[in-house]
Amino acid sequence: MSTPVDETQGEKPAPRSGVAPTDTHGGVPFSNGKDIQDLMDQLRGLMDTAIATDRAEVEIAKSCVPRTWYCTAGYDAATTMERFGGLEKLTQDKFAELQGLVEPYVRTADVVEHNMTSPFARWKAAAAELASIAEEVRAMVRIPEWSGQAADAYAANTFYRADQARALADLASNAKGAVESVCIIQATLGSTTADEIFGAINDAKRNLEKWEFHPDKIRSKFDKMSRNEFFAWDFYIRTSIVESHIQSAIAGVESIGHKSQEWQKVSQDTNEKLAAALAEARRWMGSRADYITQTTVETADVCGTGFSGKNTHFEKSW
Amino acid sequence: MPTNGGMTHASGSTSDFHTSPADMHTSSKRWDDLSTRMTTLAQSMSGLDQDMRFEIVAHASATYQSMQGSAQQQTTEVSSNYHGSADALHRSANDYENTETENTSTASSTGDHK
Repeated sequence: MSTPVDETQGEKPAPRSGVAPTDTHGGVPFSNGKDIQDLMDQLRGLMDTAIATDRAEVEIAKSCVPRTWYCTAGYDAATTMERFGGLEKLTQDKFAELQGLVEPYVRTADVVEHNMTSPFARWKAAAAELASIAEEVRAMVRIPEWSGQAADAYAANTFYRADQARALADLASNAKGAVESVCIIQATLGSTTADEIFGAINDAKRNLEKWEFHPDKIRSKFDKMSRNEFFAWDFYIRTSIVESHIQSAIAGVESIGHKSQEWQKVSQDTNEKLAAALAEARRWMGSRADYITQTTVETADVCGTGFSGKNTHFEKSW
Repeated sequence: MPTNGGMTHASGSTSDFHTSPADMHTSSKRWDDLSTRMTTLAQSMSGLDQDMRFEIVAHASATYQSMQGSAQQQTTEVSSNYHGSADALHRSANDYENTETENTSTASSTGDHK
């Protein structure tokens, strides 16, 4: 982790129910698929409530419209209701679009715990066992009381066999590093996605506060309105507010997957390092040279995993 | 210290050496145990390619698959090499024992002729 994220600033983070038990950073909390889906459910609830409230407000307004206004130029009841229906559909369609965009991140965040408890743990155990075997083989270089040319040849061969185990231990360790690196990116993506939706929910809630719905108050207000005031009234404001924040969340989630994001580069680097480690292991296994390696697949350097606040390594693209 | 007086080895070389065949058998057994552990390891690597789920972080997916295949194959090969070391030591120990037996027999028959 090269740049720690400031946790003291900003709002409370989105829920982080997942924990990735990494070797390099300890237990890393992150937003798993359920956290993200729970937030989507909250956002849907907000949208449904806004639509229901706006509908109720329109019904009250309709009951307050004097019959004479229906014949007034500038008021078309059918078209007005159609426009309101269009606003509802637009908001629902945007929510569906957001749900579609979020799904790959839900799936990605959902595999972290499996990857850490299964492939990561299995490679870690394999690397430890191979390192232990390499040590044991090295201890077998000399057989007591055996000397001469054959003993020397045996010793040289045993050194080579120890190096084979060591090379395999390094390969397994690099596989473990690659898995951990991928998991940290996956966890970061889950948390960042959750933060985007969580941010949209909080912003929408804040903006909706001044549009609290009190049926009696609004009826009384409509009853006293002039025709011009009535026509100038902003109907479906709550739905529009939620729609605009869903749109922000769409832009935010779209930007997470952008090619310019740091995680894309870190993921590519992990691939290149793993490929180099593999090529080196294959080359060495095919030779009888002394085993020397300098290739290590390090853990991803994508900051902000599990921390609250905004992840500075994810740039907004809008 | 016993000597085989120039036994021919699996490598084809002939040299003077000293050892106890019991130690060679012990080492042979250890090589066999290590070979078994390597086989177990190779088996434990089976399916690790399918077990890893990349989802959208897929840059390293293909390399990881190759790496898993290579690691499993090489571990299997090393297991086989270790088994080969166990066999070679076992044969050498047996050769040594046979030579010792022959030497002892020759020595006693020479003594009988005296």
